[in-house]
Amino acid sequence: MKASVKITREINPIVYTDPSMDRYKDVTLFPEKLEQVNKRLEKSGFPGIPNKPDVPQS
Amino acid sequence: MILDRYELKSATNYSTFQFSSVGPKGTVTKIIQFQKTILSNVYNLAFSDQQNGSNNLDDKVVTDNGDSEKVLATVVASIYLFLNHYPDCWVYATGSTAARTRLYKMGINKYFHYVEKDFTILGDFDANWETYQKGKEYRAFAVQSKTVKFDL
Repeated sequence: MKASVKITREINPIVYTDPSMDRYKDVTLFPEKLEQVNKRLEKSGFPGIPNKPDVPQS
Repeated sequence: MILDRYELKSATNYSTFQFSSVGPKGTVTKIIQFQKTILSNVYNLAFSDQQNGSNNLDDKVVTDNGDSEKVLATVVASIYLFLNHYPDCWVYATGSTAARTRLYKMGINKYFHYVEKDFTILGDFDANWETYQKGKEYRAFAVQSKTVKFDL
């Protein structure tokens, strides 16, 4: 079972949320790259994850 | 040693981030997106410069702004944030070119002692996934948090 741990402070993110960034929620910024990755994953599969498309990409 | 990194601006669902790289070439906006793939719980890490807020991005561009280590540490920080909110998911990363993939490998090796206790790291070697080994040439990498939630 996974446990909660404190992240190493050397790399602790500095972050703030900005609702204006939500304009990217439904935008695929690198469609060609994603298509390439999907083809690779289709071929190689992934440990512990069924090798079936989950949600069709638009 | 505290790793120097940039401040991230995040969407409310922690799937897209922006930050500003500052160096000799000026201020360059960078964008990171974790993209849903065809496999459930596997998200692709995409990363590029972004000019004038455009959605038309080229992840092959080389900025050469003299801050590659700080940029790399910032991208690693974004992975922590994403996996903190989606602890059952995997983040898949591969370079847009062989040189970029080698750069990712160098990044993993550089921060290995920081991240190995927090992440399970796999490498795709000739279409077979295995536990990441330093020095091996992988064509892609995948990480998942070992924890339910990081205490950020």
